[in-house]
Amino acid sequence: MAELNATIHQPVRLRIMAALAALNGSGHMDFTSLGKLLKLTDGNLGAHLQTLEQAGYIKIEKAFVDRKPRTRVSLTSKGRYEFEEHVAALKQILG
Amino acid sequence: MNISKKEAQESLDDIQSVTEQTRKAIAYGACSAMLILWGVIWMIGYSITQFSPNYAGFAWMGLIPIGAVACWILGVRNQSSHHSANAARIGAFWLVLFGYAALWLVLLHPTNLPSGAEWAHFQPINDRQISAFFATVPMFAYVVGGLWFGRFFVWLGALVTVMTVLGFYLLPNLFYLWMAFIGGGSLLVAGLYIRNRWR
Repeated sequence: MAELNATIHQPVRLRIMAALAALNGSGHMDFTSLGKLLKLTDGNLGAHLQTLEQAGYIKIEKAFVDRKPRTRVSLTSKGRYEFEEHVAALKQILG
Repeated sequence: MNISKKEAQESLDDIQSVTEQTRKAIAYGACSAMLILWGVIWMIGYSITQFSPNYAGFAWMGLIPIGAVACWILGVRNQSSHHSANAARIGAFWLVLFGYAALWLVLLHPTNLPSGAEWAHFQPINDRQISAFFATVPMFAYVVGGLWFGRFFVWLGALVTVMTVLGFYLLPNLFYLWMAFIGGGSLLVAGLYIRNRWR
């Protein structure tokens, strides 16, 4: 029986996880695009990403592309598993 | 952790909404630029074919590789912001589709036709038919892709296909001009519309 995940269930983090899960496989999204997609400020997005990273659900990679800093975010396999479990738990509640 | 059925439903709706937005962002990210690019290429290529048919072959031989390379560059640039595991599959799909179309063009092209009066009887493939065929091949892909990525692409593919067929039968002498402005114009307008509405 799947269980709800309190870390993921927070509304902003749920949306972040849903966006990253939609990329499939090893897909990633850059910080700016993710913020624009979810209509979040940099500060708000950064704080929630940090929580998810500490839980081991996402991976954050920083690099320089054309001398500009770029932050890429992707789901870890643990994060994908936990997200799918959370979705399954939500569906179970609905019966 | 316990939540109500209402809250569970709201969370699932939210997930569904974000998933759709993300898929749209991936699909439309590079698509708008590619549609604008191919709209301009069609306008130039078909205009040359209409007004300077002797140079049409050279024009298309230049324009198609330019379009293909530009698409590849746009795809790579788009991957730096949204990289989906499906991106490589989408690129491979277009290669396979045009390989398939080219194969059938070769298979259907008559190579051992007799000369003289019998020629008319065999009705070999003409340039207008080839143009209509290659214009509708990517539109077929739009219609099929639209079943996953959004109705916009279904309507765009269907519209350009219908316009191509109408121009083919009703305006045989102005077919290339029709394709330049109606076909190329539709792609261009669709690309600009996506850029303004979904980006």
